[in-house]
Amino acid sequence: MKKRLLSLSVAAVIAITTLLTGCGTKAVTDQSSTGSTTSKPAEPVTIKVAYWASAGGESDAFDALVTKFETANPDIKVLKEGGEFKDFYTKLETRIAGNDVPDVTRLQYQAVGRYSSNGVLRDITKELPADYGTDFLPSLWSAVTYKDAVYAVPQHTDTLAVYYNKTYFEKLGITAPTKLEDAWTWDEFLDISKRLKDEAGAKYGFVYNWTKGNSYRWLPILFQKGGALLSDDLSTSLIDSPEALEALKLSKRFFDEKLVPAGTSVKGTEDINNIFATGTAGMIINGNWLASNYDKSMTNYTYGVTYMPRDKAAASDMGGNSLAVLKKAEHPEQALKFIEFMTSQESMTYFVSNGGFLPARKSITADKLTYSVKQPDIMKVFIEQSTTVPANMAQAVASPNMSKITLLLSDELDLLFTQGKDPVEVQKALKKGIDEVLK
Amino acid sequence: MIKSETLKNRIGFIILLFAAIITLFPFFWMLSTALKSSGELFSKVPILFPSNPQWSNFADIFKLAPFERYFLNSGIVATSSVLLTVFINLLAGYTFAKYQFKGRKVMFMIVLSTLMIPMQIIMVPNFIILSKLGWLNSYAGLIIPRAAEAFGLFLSKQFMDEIPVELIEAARIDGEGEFKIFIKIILPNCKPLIAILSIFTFMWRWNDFLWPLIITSSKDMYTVQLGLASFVGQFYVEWNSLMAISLLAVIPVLIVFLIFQKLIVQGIATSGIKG
Amino acid sequence: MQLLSKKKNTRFNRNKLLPYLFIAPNMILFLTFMIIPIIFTFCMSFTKWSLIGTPEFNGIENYIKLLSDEQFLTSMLNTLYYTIATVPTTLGLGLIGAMLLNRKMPLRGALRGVFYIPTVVSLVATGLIWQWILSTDYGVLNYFISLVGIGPQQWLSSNALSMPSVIMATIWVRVGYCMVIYLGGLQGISPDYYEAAEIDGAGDLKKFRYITWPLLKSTTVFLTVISIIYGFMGFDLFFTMTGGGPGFSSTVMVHYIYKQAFNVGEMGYASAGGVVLFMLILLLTMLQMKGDKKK
Repeated sequence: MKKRLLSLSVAAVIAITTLLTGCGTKAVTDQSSTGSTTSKPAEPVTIKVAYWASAGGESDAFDALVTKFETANPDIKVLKEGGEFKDFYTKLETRIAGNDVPDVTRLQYQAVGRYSSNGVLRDITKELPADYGTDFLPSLWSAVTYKDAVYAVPQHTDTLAVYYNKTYFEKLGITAPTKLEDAWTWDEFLDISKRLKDEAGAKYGFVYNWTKGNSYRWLPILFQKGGALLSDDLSTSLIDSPEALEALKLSKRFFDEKLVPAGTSVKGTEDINNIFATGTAGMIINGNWLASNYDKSMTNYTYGVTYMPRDKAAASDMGGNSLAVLKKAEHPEQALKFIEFMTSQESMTYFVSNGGFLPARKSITADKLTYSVKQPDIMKVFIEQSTTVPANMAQAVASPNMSKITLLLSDELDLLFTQGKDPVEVQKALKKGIDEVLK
Repeated sequence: MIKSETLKNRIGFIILLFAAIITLFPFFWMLSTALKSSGELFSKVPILFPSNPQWSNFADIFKLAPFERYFLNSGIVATSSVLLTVFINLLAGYTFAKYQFKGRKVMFMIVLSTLMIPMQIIMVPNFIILSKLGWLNSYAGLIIPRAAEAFGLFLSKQFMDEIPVELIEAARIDGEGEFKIFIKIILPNCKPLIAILSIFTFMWRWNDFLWPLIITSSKDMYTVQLGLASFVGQFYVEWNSLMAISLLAVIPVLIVFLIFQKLIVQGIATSGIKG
Repeated sequence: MQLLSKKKNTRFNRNKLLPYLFIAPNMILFLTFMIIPIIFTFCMSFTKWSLIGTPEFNGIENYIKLLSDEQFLTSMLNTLYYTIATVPTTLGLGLIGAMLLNRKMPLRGALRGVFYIPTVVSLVATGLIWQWILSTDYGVLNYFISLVGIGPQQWLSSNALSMPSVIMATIWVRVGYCMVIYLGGLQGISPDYYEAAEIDGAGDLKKFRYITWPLLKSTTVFLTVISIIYGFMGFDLFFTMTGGGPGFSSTVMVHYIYKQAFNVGEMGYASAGGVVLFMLILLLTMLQMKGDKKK
């Protein structure tokens, strides 16, 4: 018994000494040989891949691709560190602070700038084939580039469009636009929303997927009204334009005129998809990845997809994710190999088809994709919509300060929507705040 | 006089009964929701008793995520924690209660003060420490750091205070070693304390959420609470599955509680008296 | 050998090293996983650090910034609101419940158990079930109040009700605990006191005021201290149920600090907030206990 006590104390003393001397034993999860890149390692190298994936198509696709990679590369093993999106960045940053760095991480385009500018990601410009970026959509490629260096490879993209309740539309005799040029204006869109409330029996006209802090999804409205967020050189904000004021006033109307549920502001926590699936709202502005969910959950109605409203310009959200190698990765060579595999034409085709995403490569045209949704044609709408992402928006969104700007947007838009703050005041506050962040 | 007492008792009973129904309603609602089909979840008039209870919802959970693994992990963590925590808290509680040594009061105060540290503000340093120890994403990391439970130490000392010192002194006169005294004299007299500490530690570790969240990085090390929380982040929240998972996450602790209820309640009650 | 005394609480110190050895496992764990981290956090509070970058020393700048940070001050007020609303309520309801339970009635044991159950449920599950119950469009609470003619309330998505919603859930969780402790305290009061009072012709109110309440003082102090600590550390339910919104109406200190660290990426600033919070809790606890000693 005393022995047990003694051994416990000894273990604890070792722990403290290790701590104090700072030469910690890193989390040893691989049975790797130490970093020689010239000779083939005798034992398989394990790379740690941090990512998130929703249960179902996305998660299964990840698993399948990883297995395929391991089979094709018997000397590399992949340790899947898949988590939930909600706490993903919290965990990742904590890990980086604690020197427990994965080899590969998945990152939204909005997050790449923050990590690349902080020196967390590995510069892979020279390690990729020279013309590697040409097949990728230009807005996406610029999003993973910082100061002319490439830090990540686009894995897929997503965008927002309008899902509408077909049953309600048929009841009201409305046909949704089938061509991008015919997309509704915002006034037309809001009129339809009102009609859905008054005549179709929906409680709300629509819902917008900017809840839970995803306030950057408001930016399409800004661009649709002809405004912009940052100047082309990213040095000042252009949020003080009259177009921006229009966009603020317009979005405020959603809440003032009770066209959207009050709990769906940018900081809201309500479940917006249920609201649409149960016919409580007649339309939802949401992304392509939800199509298979609506297939499952809309039991009493059918739905259709049409383009985002357009006023001065068409625009939509630049969504999607990329894969990056961490600067402090233990096995950068194998990590890069993994990324190249995951973003190859073949893998990407497989991944987006199964996950309901949009391809990041120009060469993967709609005819090459077989989505497993009930109405595969709706994906064409999304693919076309993804081409309307303004280059200026892509640049701004991928800039290093985007996370801070998103927070500012969350605070101010929430005040605008739920606290009755004057749009002019909001505009002033945004201008001031963003300019400060940019300093 | 007697009549008014009985009347008061009856009124009291009715009030408490009513309050009990309100207290239990969320659990009932969890079960009711868990048994509904997706279509029934959002009916205009909430259905209290689903006509066709979908018991399969519970089985379906295991298809969504490897909950058997999560249960195994939670079980291993909780049980090991009980063994470790109870032992070291009994020993330490005894020492604080019955020994005089320099710094006794200060150290005990320091221990109690740890109750006031919100876990969130020491998350990152803890992570770094665990990383250096190599305990990330491991059972060691889940169990050992949490073994020191300030509240458990507090309970233990309270209890040990009450043990008559004569017992110890008699053993000393007989020439028994200190540790032997602990094992042979103190422990047998601590049965209620051991029981209570075990039960509480089990419950505390079963319900831990933030700690496992910080240190696990792969799904095969998730605990039940993490598994539950992981469903909240999904784009599409199926409330019937969520409620089913919540129930499963809660049931083990509920069972432990219901079996040992009397003991638990007594233990809590005594801890509060001395303040 | 020390002179042995008959008093219950004599302490023994023959082997000077032994006690330290016995408490060592506990102390080492506390030191490593609680004390050292809080010291680390304290040191971090004097830096600017984004977790993924390197810390830069910046003196007391973080603390100065905290003083003029409107959102931080709001979170402080919210935390006070939350604590003031939950502490007297849970204690009060717990005491009433305990006094009722102390009477003769059927199913006493079962009832006592029932009220304690919410305490053993994990906060994750609690947050979820209450989120479901309080949902504006699908929640069963709005259905029940519609039966008495009140329109649907935006429990989790309105300024006025976001805090009360979390307070409600908290009370559900905590009343049973207070009840059980008070019951223990009540059962420790000798019935002789009450009999004597009865002979003197005292009614229920007088009995409570002059016997029950004073004799429960230490219990009340204990519960108050524990509940205040609990209130100031509130986080889990807010995280799950309201996300701190709408606006900042339900953002409490721990949540604000968490957001600063992980959403804004200001770990140094968040550490300063954490230190301030810890000091506050420490101060309040010490005041409570000193106040009790004076009486």
